[in-house]
Amino acid sequence: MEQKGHLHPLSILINDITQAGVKLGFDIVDGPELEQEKYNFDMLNIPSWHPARDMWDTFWVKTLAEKGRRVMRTHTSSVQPRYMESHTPPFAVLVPGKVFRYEPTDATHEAQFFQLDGFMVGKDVSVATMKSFFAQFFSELFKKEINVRMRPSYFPFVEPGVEVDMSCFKCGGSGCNTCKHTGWIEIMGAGMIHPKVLVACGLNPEEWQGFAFGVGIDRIAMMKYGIDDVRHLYNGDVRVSAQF
Amino acid sequence: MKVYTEVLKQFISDLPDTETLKSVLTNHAFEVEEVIKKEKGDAIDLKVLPDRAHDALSHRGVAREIATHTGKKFNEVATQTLTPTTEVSSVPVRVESELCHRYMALRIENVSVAKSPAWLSEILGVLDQKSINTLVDLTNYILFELGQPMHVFDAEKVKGAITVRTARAGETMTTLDNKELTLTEEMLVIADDEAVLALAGIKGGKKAEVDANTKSIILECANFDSISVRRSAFKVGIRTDASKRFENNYPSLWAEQTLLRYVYLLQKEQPDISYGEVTDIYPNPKMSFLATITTKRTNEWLGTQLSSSEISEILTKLHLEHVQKDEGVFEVTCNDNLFNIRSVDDQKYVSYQIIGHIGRVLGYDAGIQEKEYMPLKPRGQVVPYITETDRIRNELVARGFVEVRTYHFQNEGEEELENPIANDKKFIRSNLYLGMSEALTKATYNAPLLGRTDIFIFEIGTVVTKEKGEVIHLALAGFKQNQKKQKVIDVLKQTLSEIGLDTNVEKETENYIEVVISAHNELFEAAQDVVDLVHESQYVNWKPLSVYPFMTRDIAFFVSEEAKQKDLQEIFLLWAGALCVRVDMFDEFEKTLEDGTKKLSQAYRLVFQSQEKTLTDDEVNVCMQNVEREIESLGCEVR
Repeated sequence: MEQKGHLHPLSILINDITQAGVKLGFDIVDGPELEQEKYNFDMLNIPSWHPARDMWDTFWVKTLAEKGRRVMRTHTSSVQPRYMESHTPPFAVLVPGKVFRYEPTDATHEAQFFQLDGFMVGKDVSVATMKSFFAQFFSELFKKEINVRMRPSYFPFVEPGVEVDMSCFKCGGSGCNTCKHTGWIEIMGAGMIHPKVLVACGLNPEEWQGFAFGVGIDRIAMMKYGIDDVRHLYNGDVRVSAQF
Repeated sequence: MKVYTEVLKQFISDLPDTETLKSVLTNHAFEVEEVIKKEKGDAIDLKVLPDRAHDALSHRGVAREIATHTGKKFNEVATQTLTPTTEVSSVPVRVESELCHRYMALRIENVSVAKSPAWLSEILGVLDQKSINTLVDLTNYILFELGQPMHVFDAEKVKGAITVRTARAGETMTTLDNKELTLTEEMLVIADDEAVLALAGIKGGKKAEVDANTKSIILECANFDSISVRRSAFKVGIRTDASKRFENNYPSLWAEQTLLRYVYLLQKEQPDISYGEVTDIYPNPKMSFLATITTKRTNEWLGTQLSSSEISEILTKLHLEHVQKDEGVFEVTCNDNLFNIRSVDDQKYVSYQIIGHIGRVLGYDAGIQEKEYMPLKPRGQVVPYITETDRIRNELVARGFVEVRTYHFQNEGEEELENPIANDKKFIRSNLYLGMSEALTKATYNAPLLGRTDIFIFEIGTVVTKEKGEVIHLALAGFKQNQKKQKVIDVLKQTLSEIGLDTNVEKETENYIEVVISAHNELFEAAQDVVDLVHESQYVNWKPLSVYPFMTRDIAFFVSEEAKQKDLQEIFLLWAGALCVRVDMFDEFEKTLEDGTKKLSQAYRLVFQSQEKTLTDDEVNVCMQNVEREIESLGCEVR
């Protein structure tokens, strides 16, 4: 009879991400999931009154008088200010970790999922560097040549903000079901770290600059492995891991 | 935000075709979500994000973008030059709160509450708006055309002056759609001498509603504080197209143009209208301001090699007035068209926004070349808890454990959510026990599907307690059919001891043990190398999980010489048909007969499951009869 053990697919993918990141000189760190409002929002240039807060459906955690408002982090970008306020550049960091969104669940939405946030700060890190890094990072992760393209977008903690598409890792760009026959996959948001964020973390934007990005790990897992329902990843079903 | 090509043509007479618009907008401005073919033109659904929601939630803003990126000429729409008459009084207005940035009002007489003309209701239909009557529809149309919300009151129903003030505690109003609101003191309202007429920037009230008998109106064209509108809208739970624009800081600069646009369009439909002097209370007119950018900084930020003259050209495309003070130093006049400035702080960093606009005019795809990324050295380390948890994963998988992940929110714990998504998900878990117990029950049930009699599972995850905060736990659980030799808990304990984790036990039962691995607060000092997780395939051929129960059947037989040459497992799968999802040999022994000859006995377990239905005994029996028949034809003797 079968005696083999099995890893959870997310563990495999996060490990792949970690290995690709380390190879490209990134440190891998994490921060708390139960997070202070200031790290999740305010220091990322998302003040409480800003309509951009609507971009994140947030679980709030009951407040203890002395601790201020707390959230279940809505993105691992919360680690950016935590890390930057206590480190001196240059640095390059990846944060794979669990995040939470207040939303009803279905086959493609979960209230908990994994996100990879990454950021790099140095003297001459630019939009052009970011574009080159993404191509290298995804090529390393998917073990094949990947191209990226970027389009304008907006996230309060970057300026400018971009959406990043990558050439389909399944078909290489010729068109298949995974990329809906477009050859491209919308993969993540990114941008140059907003000078306000740098200042909030005690860094001088005239001296330091860098990029940041955020990508959904579960979505990559679903595409890469063909998993048809995101809820399979969290319902404790051994039939999931047994396939890996 | 939907834009309609027919409306965009008001601003750009030689509008490019929709395919071109789609590509230009995607690469340089906004994501195109959908293009919908309409009778006369196309509706393009755009994702306008908060940085541009102050000016581009309008056809005007989108048309300016199209002009920037295609080189087409942008024209403002036609407006009325007012010819007021003294026979119509001006509207007395008192603004008592700084939350109102500008208040324009105009009394218009001799209006008709007629059905909207065909052109107007057609456009509103394309923009998913209901047509009500000409007077109301025009405010709605202009909101989408220019972005500025307006409101019309029946002038006869407004008693005395219009006052813009904060509500009195407990004051009430009935909205146009008959909702009763109780207002609080921080909410801004429009009131007459008797009562509240509207919740400022959010929703009009019943009191001065335009109805079939309306002969004269007061047209309001005003601007309100974005934070105040946002808070009030949240509090009363009403969000409208108007409130959305105000909370995104719609500029007060364009109120006059908007009001004159209304009069222009109304006069075209109803030439007999007359109106008095405009009331315009605008205590602190918003001014444009100057920002400095340099060629050097722009190139550093974007990673480009633009010349000063190229930057100047791009600024011109963006309709940004600028002068070059010194070589490579530009003084740019900024106004509300591109910059959503909410604070002094915003203004301080506006030069970076200008650089961002330059970047998107260039185009991030074709316009900016990659510059080789060089890894920082020496770097590439991993925070210890990740290395440690991956080590544990490898150890456990090598010992036959299956990893699971379960939910963070459950019906017990120590830290509680303010806004749980369901009543049984109010708490952050303080241990892994509940999730793992359910997982074990399911795993025990599903064990035959995985070809097992015994099953062991594990989870590594964060938990939160008041005392320790956020901590990472490991939980092991298992099921064993036969516990005579070794009990489940002994297997679990032995495993923990083998991997060096037998201290810090948090919870233990007869089939479960949970230990603390690491405090989740040593976060940043990456100091170790990555541990490679041991696994086989890079890609997996995922099989969907059936929601229907499975059935098992066992078959035992003496194996013939002929059958010994074959891969019986493969053959069973074939014979049993598509419903058979798994075959495992679970027993094998050799029996010596009296005559000294030896016979090999084998026992197999077959698992049946359908993706579409619950199987019946009869269906499975038919499959098993096939298997038996075929095995016998190979000379095997079924026991």
